[in-house]
Parts: sequence; C-alpha cells; structure tokens
Amino acid sequence: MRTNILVVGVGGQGVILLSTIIGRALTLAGLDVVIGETKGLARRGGSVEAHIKVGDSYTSPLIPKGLADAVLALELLEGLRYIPWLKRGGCAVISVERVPPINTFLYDEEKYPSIDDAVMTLRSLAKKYNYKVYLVNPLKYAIKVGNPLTSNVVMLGFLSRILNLNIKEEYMVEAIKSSVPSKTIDDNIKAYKMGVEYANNALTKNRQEDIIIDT
Amino acid sequence: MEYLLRGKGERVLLSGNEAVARGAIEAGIKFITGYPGTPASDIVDVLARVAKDLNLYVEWSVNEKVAFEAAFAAALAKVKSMFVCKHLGLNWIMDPWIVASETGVNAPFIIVTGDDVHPYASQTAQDTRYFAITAKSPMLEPATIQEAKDIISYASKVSSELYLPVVVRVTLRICHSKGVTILNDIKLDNTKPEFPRNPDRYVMIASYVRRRLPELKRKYYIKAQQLAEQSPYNKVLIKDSAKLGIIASGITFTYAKEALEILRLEDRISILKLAWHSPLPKRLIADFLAQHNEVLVLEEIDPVIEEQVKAIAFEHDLKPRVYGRLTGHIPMEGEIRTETVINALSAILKLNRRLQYDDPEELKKVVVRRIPYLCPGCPHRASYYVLKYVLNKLGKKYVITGDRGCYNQGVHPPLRAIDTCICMGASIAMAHGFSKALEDYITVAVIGDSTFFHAGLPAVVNATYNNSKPLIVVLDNQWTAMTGLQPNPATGLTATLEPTLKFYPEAASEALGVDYVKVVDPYNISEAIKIVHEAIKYIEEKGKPAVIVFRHPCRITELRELKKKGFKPNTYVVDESLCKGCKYCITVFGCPAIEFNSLTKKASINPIKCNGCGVCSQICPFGAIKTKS
Repeated sequence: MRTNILVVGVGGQGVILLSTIIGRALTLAGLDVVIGETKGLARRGGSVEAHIKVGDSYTSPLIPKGLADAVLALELLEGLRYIPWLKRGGCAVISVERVPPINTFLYDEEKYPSIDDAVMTLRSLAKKYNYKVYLVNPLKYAIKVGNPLTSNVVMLGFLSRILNLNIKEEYMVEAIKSSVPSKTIDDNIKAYKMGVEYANNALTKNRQEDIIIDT
Repeated sequence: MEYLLRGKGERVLLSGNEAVARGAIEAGIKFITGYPGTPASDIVDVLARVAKDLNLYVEWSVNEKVAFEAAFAAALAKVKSMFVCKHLGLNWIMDPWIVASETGVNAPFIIVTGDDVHPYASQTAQDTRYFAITAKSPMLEPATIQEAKDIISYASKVSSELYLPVVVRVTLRICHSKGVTILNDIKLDNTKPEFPRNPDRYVMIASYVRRRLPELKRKYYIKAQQLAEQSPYNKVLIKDSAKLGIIASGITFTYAKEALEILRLEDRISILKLAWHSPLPKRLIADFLAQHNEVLVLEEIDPVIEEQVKAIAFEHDLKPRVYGRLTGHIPMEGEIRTETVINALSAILKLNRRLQYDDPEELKKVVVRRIPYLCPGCPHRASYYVLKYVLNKLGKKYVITGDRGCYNQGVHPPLRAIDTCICMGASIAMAHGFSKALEDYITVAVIGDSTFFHAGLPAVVNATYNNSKPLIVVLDNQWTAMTGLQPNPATGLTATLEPTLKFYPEAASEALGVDYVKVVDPYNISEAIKIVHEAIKYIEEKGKPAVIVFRHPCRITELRELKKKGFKPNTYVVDESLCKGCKYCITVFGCPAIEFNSLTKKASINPIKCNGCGVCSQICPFGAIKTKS
C-alpha cells in the first residue's frame, strides 16, 4: 500500500503527536513508513507539516506538491494553505477551528478568511481538481467525550474511516496508548471511535456535493 | 524512552536523531558531549534520558569548544566518544579539531554535525564538508533513518582503523524525520580507560607537529581513500545503455529515486549513491563517469562534489557534461526536494514535466501568511517592551544588538526589538564595538542565560577592560529554551537532570568588573522601567558598562511546575466598557493571545492561548484588562 498523507496545523496544536500516532500504528501493522516534519521553537506559532509516506523506507521524507492522497488540517487557514498538495481526486479533511495569526490583527490588509470565503474557495477547487473535501468540527465530538483536547484524535478516527486505511483498530489503540499521557488514554480511544462514527455519518451524506460540511 | 532500548530485530519508529542516539548505543559509545543546536539537540537529550540505564556519561557542555575538547580527551583515554553539535558548532571546534587529527585518537571518536541546509532555523546554511576536508577527517552522510543508525557503528570502525576523528553529517531533513528502523544489539564496551603518556604525540608544538604531518597525510589521502572506495554505503545502480547518471549524496538519493519513479525513468537513468564526502571515492566516481555522457550532481549545499567531479573527469581524460548548482539546474540555495530533481531532469531531458509551484488564483485571494512569535506570557516580550518604552521615551539614537535564542524572535512585528543578530555571543562584543564607534548612541546588548555563559563572558571582560559603555541585558529564563528546553549552568541541573552548581549572571558580571549590576523580574513592568532608566543614566554619566538581569523562568516551564503543584494561573479578560479599541496591546505589546474584533472594535483575550502572565493588564493605557475573578 502506497499512501501519502499530509497533516498540517499551527505550532502547538499537536500535528507531530498525531503523525506519531499514525506512524506507530502503521509500524505495528508491519508497514514501512517515513514521516518528514517541520517543527521546533523557531517556528512557534507558525505552520507545522507532517508528511506521512507509507510503503517504502527509501522514499524521500517529503510529499511532492500535488501528490498527496490526503490532507488532514487541524486548522482552517492551514487547510486552505496546504490543499494544493493534494493530487487530483484526493481527499481533504479540514477542521473549522480558527487560530488567527497575529498579522491579521496587526495589518488591515491581511484578514483571516471568513467561513463563507473559505467554503466558496474549497468548492471551486473541489470542482476544478475533483477533490473530496470534508469540513468538520471535531471539537463538538471531543466535548461529547468530555475532553476538548482529544479533538485531534477525533479527526484521526474520521480520516482513517474516510481513507479506508485498513489498519486494525487494535494497532491504532496501541499507538494511542504509547503516545498520549496515561491519564487521557481512555478519553482518546473514545475520541478515535467517535471520529470513525462521525465519518460513517458523513459518508452517508449526499455524495454529489462538492464539499461535505458538518459543523 | 523504552522503545529506544529494545532488542535486536525489533522494528521501531525512530526519528533521525533517535536513530543516531541508538546508533551510538549500538556502537558502544560511552562518553557523549555537546551543546544544544537545531537540528541535532535531541541526540544528546535522548542519550541523557537513557544514560543511567546504560551507564553512559552524557554532558551538556557550556559551549561546543569545551564539549569537543572534553570528548577528545576521553577518546585519548581509550573511551569511545561522541561529540554532537549543529553545523555552526563546527565553527567553534576548528581550533582543537585540526590538532586532534594531528595527534590522532586512541578510541573511536565521532563528531556528529546536524546541518540546517535550507536554512529553516539558523543564521546561515554553511556547508560543513569544507570543515571536514580542512581537518582531514573522513565524513559520512546517511540517506535514510536506518542508515543514520547503522552508520554510527560503521563510522566507529573507520575511526578505530585510522585512529582519526570521523564526522557523521545528518541534515535537518533526517534529524526531524521518522522512519521504521530495525534495531541491532546494544554493545557493552569493557575497555579499561588509561592515558598512554607520550608528549611527542600530544604536545603539539611546531617541531613535534612537523614530524606527525606525513602520517596524517598518509592516513587521509591513502588509507581513508581506500576505505571510501570499498564502503558498502556507496552504491552503484547502473542502468544499461543509460546516457545520463545521477550522483546523489546523502538524503538526495531518496529524492532522485522518487523523481525517477514519478517520471517513469527508473530503467533509463543510473544512480551513484554516495555516503562518503571526505575523501571522495574518486575511482568509483571515475568509473561511473566513464559509463555516462551526462551527469547530474545532487548535494547539499555547495557544489563541492560537482567541482571535484570535473577534476576527476579531467584526470581520467573523460568529458561528460556535468549538471548541478553551478549550471543552474539545481538552485544555488535552498534544500533539494523531489520537485527540484524533477525540474532538473525536465530541463536536461527536455521533458515537458516541470511541476507547477504556483497556487490557484482563488486560493491566493484568501490565504494569508502566519508569522511566528514569542509565546504568550514569554518574559522576553515584557523585557523588550520595557527596553523599547524607555529608549523611545529618551528619544536618543540607539542600537540594540541581539543574540541566538528564543529572544531573537523579538525581531518579528510588532516588537521589532533587536537591530542585529549575528552569532553566539556577538551581542555583547558588538555592543562594545558600537559603543566605541557610535559615541553618542545608547548601545544595548540583549543576551540569554545560556548564550551568556557560552560566549558572553569574554565579551564582558573586553567591555570592562577596554572601557566602553554598553547596557548589557541578560534575559535569564533559566533554560536553553529555543532548542527544546535543555539545562545550562543557569538552571542548576545537569543534562541528566541532577542538581548541580547554579550560576548567576549578576555574580559573574560583578566578578568581571561591572559595577552597576541589577536583577529585576520583567513581569514587574514599573520596576523594570525604573531600573532601565537608572542603568542608562549610569552608563551616560559614568561611561562604564551596566548589567541588568531580567530574571523570570520560561513561562512554559513555569506553568508545568505550577500545574504539578496544583496551581492554576490567572486568566485575563478585556473589560469592553473600558476598552477604547486603541490596539496598543496588539500593535505595541504584541501578545498573540490578544485578538481584535474589527466590527465591535474591541480587543479580547483568547483563554486557551493566554498563559496568565498579567503583563497586558499593566500596560493597557485604559486599565481595561483585568483578571477573570
């Protein structure tokens, strides 16, 4: 199985943690995986990328632009910024969470996109390049679990169902156990399962729509 | 960290840095030193965490020079050693390194350099291969995470065969990537440490050195050359009747491989994968050149191999066309990626497959950049605010020299608080230089605690000894924060987090001749402003240096400690009835937790981002910011 998944977000949101969970699950499943990351305090508050490449240990650690099978964005603006990494027909799962950069408060000409502008742009791109776009609100489900910090893992559950990653749930659970603080393991496992259920609901929605919005 | 200690045959997901650390363990390295530097810091961090389990000696040294010399001494005492630094750290070790090659070593001694070739987080993208060539050290570069681990044992063997230091170069792309790695045995070394006295060998005065140089030349130009030619880490992948070959060093091999797969040219183009940079396996390259008309050279960052390839071709009477950075097929600066290789091949083979980098128009209209910042609650923000407040009020001309650390993020808008940032310790020495050259300016140096002890001390002596009048501001947040929160002498903890002597910049400054030395908490804005006023008055009246230590722990570490003790920090809110929408808190103070609603024209504080420092409540001109209760 050769799959390229790009996970993006804002520094501090947990992009690296999420990609580590996916990487560990894939390793347990016996697959070869390479993950390229941008991180570090030098980028505090900046965009963070994790390029997850499954299937070949001699592949480069970065996904060439236009060749990602999926883009998973923990933040709306980053979802817009990185959607050009998707291949034609690729799948984007974008959170509606907004983390406005400081420049949008400093300079009048730099504005954080409104949800309407974001949706319009995503619809136009989805049509042009045949993307499947899911605009989701994982926080809603994380709150149902009782722990808002698990929203990333909700998205993980959502993505694994949408992509049909075919990784046994026990590997995901094991990977979550070895990656999150021990007190939060149960919450995170619940969050993952909720994300899968969330995706099942989304998949039953009208497939004719350019983008599936569930906020 | 248990996954780092698993047994032979286990498959584990490791980062490049973790792979190097595990590689050191598998090679039997016992003595590890370094100074934090992106991208290699984690290597020592990780080894420090397993040091007790494996009976290793792991040290964060005060600077790279001291770290190198300490590890080198251990290698002379027959202890397998490793020194770790970022690429710029090599600038600090050239003095002892060159002589270490002349004396040679008595146990494997590996220098690991983490290279930021783009650069993403450094003041430059220097090509460390020149340094290895100058010092006459073999230099190896792995192409994958697995190789990053295995190559340490190989480097150890090379070092013990030649009795020379050996460099392993890992680029940021390897350090910060993760890959599935198969582990090997952990080696336990039982060599008895001892120092074989031999002044003729270790006291490198000129007359003794001259006797040792011929042996060094033989080791490097002949023996190391042979090892390079025979190395299993170089691989020749010839495609029959291929006219074009790619010479790909280090990780660029993976970009070349992927580019050929995407272009469906795997069967038509050969690859020579190189892991040896110094010395280059010249015969291997000559054989490769003889079989191709054209060659594309992939390397980071300067055309080092590209130029040597041309010399090798000349020596063997070959005339291949050589493409690379010098011919413009690869851009002169910046990291190589698969896209770079695809574009180069497209140009050479005249394909129409140049990858489009331009984003669609509708996207350009909505996407805005994201500029980085100092964390909400960072004490440096408060320190910079105070400095700029006082200097702007005084209205005189000034220069603020900065240094390397989290606080160099003070350059970003809106603070724009530092005028220079050159290299470790330059803040104080340059402030001294500016003070002498620009007599009517107020010169201020801003330096962190780790950098102060790394490189600042001699510059303080220079300022008092040579009579200049800079205001030296030490931002003491008690940790080496930028590189991932490592301890340093100002922390009072060792690399393995054991308590040790704690150092105070104010005590050091007094000992080095500074008469005006004050310590203040930058969170206390009015007090800090008072002290800065007083210090500037002192330097203008007395014409002597002054030191202010702004002491407050890094807010991230402080919150962790508070959380452990069960304390919750205050959250702050904006009282909309008092907020006038002046945006001072955003445009002058610049805390990223403060947002602004352009419709209601009111500021608000994001409770998830706010770290409860309370400085905003002190600086709001209308007193509109208060604690939640």
